[in-house]
Amino acid sequence: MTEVSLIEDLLNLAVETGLKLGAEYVEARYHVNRSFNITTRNGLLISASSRVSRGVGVRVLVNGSLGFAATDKLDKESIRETIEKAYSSAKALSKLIKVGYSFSRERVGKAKYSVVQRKSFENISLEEKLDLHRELTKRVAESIKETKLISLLFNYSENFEEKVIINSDGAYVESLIPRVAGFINLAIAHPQMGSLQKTEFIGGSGGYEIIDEANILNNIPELAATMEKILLKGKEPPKEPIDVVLGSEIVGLVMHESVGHPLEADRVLGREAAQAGESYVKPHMVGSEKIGNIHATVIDDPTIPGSYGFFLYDDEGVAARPKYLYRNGVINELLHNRYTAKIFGVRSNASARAMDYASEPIIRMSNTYLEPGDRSFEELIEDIKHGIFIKSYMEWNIDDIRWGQRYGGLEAYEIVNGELKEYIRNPVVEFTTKTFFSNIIAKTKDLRFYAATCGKGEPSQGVPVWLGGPDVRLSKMRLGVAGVY
Amino acid sequence: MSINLSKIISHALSRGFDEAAVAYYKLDRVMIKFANSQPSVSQSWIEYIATLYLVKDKRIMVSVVESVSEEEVVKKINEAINQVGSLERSFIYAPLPEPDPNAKPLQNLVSSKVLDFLRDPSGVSEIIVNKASEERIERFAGAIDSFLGERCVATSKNFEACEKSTYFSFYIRAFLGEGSGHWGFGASSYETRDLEETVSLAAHYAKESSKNIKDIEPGVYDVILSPLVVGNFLGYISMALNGLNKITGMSFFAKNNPGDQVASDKLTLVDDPFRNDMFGSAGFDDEGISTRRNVLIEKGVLKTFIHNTKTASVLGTSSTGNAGWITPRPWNLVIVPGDMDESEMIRGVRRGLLINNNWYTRYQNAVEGIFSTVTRDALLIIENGEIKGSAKRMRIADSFPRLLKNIAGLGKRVYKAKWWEIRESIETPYIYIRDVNITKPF
Repeated sequence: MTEVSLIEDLLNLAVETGLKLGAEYVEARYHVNRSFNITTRNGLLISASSRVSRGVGVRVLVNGSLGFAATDKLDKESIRETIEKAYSSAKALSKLIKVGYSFSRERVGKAKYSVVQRKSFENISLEEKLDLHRELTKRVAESIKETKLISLLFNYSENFEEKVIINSDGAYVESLIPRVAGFINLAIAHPQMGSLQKTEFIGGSGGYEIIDEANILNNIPELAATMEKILLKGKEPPKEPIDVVLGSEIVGLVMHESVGHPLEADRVLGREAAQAGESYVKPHMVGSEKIGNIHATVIDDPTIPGSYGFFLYDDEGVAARPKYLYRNGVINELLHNRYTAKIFGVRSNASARAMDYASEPIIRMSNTYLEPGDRSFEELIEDIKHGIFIKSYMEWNIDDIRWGQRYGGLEAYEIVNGELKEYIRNPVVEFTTKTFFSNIIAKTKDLRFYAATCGKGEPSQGVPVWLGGPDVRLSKMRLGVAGVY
Repeated sequence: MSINLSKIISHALSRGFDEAAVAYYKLDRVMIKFANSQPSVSQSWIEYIATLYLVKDKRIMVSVVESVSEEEVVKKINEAINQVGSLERSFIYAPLPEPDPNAKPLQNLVSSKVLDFLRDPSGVSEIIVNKASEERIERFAGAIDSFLGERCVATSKNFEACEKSTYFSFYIRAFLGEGSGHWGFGASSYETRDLEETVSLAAHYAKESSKNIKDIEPGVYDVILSPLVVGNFLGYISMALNGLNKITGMSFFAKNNPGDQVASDKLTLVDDPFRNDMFGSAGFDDEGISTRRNVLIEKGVLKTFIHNTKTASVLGTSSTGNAGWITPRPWNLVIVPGDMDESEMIRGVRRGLLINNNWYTRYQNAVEGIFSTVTRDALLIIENGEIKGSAKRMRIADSFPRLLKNIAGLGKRVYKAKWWEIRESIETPYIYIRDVNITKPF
């Protein structure tokens, strides 16, 4: 028998055993993550590591009580024990359930898909991968003159995620997604002017072409040179309210934090209340509540080819599609799994994802972005007399209902009479979700994406996502300053 | 144990590695999540995880294998020997230490109450649901997390030992009107009174924060941080005390050396691996060195960074018994209590805030320790020594070095705080800090 048919047998055994025990719903997922990582500092190797996480996660519904269990032992006895554990625990707790769980009826998939690497990372030698780290450090060090490179940490990772999902509603979905990511943390310092730090995250589904296309050998040294100029020449942010232009890197993050997360239906229903928190969105607001103006159309789309958050079926076997979270400023559609879809009386929009076999599938984003506009960057700023362009960020955070948020800018420029002028150091924007979306004046036509690992759940699960958007011009606002007061 | 550790070490050496170590974990874990005052999911895991440390000619590889069988581990070693030649020599390399005769497993780290919970979690869940309904809150959410773990370490220097321990944590967020309160604890075991007190403290803060809600202006305030907030900050402070971060410059203590005054003289921070009541305890580290009680900061003076033999050797000192093969790690972080009653602390504040909880702590600059964090749950306004109402969702935007220096008092009671935003095993009192910068969104 092939490995896949052996796995299929184990998963079928789990589903049959769960149904025989009396579960209303059973789902079994074989989930493998094989990864290889290289971490260097200033081009010198700290460690090379590999990880194989391989096992089966099962979920059952018993008298309206939900049970999940996982094992990394792939034999029939362990699978039986695992499903029995999920069942008995859920059953024991069912006496405390007042409002039982149930799932929406869905047309589940029978499908098999995979992502092809255009340039297979397995065919690139370790020497070549390490050469990139060394060359990058050399170029970064050459790009700065008066400041010192404190640290260039570079973590390169390649990963295969392989899944087979079977459930008692007839789903069978087999997938294989390779991903590559590069995480870079750059810190430079000057004895009198202090230090600056920036992280960059490159990632996508596919092969080593993702690293090639990111062109880090040019972009990161350029970034270092810019950081040096900011450190040496950056001036204090203006104190009076001014026009603000936010770069796509910040805009993408705002979409993720202030639209994607609060529109996760499980948050809206309080299921993550003690962890990631709740939401400014209440169930009655969907389809009617206006948060922003006509520029505020926000989409979450897992089907973008090459994206870091790519998938075609979610972990409940439902086919993926783009979701319009805000449409022209109005809350349009939440992110649903089959549990929340049932409560809201809608169909699941395939947002259930699990990080690995040991994780419960929960509602997650994929690739979340602000719909771009029609301007060039020059047109966006041409009539600004005095403003600021904050291109990138270093720090951010947001409250637990996703309303008040703060972004600490890194690369920022004063705009005078429609042109970028001097560097501004450490500007901070702190606004509410409504302030941001009500104050968009215009957007560029470029749509850029940035990779990230999104965290949620208990135990915490990190899943790959893209954040994206155009550059955005906002009406006047007052800036804050980061640092010590 | 279902795999033979010395056989794995022998195999690695026979394939040509100069040194090898293996850490093997078995975890029997149960978590019950609550939302809207009822269980939202029960989660159970039985996991076997092996991590391998392999060295050839100072070139280091680390591998993690879940779904462990000897066959899988052997396969991993065979793969690694083909890759290791392409790596560079690690600049932090130091040989594995010789066997340490004092490195022995600790006893009495397993709680029978935790074993009972793992068998049937419904009784404890019921205590929590019942206590919460007595507290007259509107609803609650939270989680119980618990495991029996076995950790075995073997090295090519002929060290081999196993240790078993248990872990139990429970945290709860209580909601009432527009208010919410949060509390949580994590230890090696629990008593029913721990569960009940946790519910009561969360309910207390939910009630306090639902009364007299006001807007306050951003500015400089004296603050009292609850153990939940201190626990979250300890994660960042212990990272800054980590030898590897000192070496890489990614620590706000990178410029400091032992002997430097880095905090108020009221602060003493200890890493104590021998606390049977805490869940991070261990008798030996991953290099087979005996753990020890390390005073990290004593009366505000930096005493030591935490080290494995690698970071110690780069910095010309000795291991503190905190390996991690690559990154050192603390065991149980303990802040020595002060002499203040919590009510006395409040009475001493003229214009300030009591912060029940926080999340989303992020660095603007890790090298300088400049960060911000968002408050959540109760944010109580203190005026002239009395609680006068509650505010909502402000930020601390300041720096850790400044906060540490501005510590003005510590409570006399300590708490083993634990929740989603606290990873480490910690024990701390409430801490009073002067002149902290607070911001809010426009």
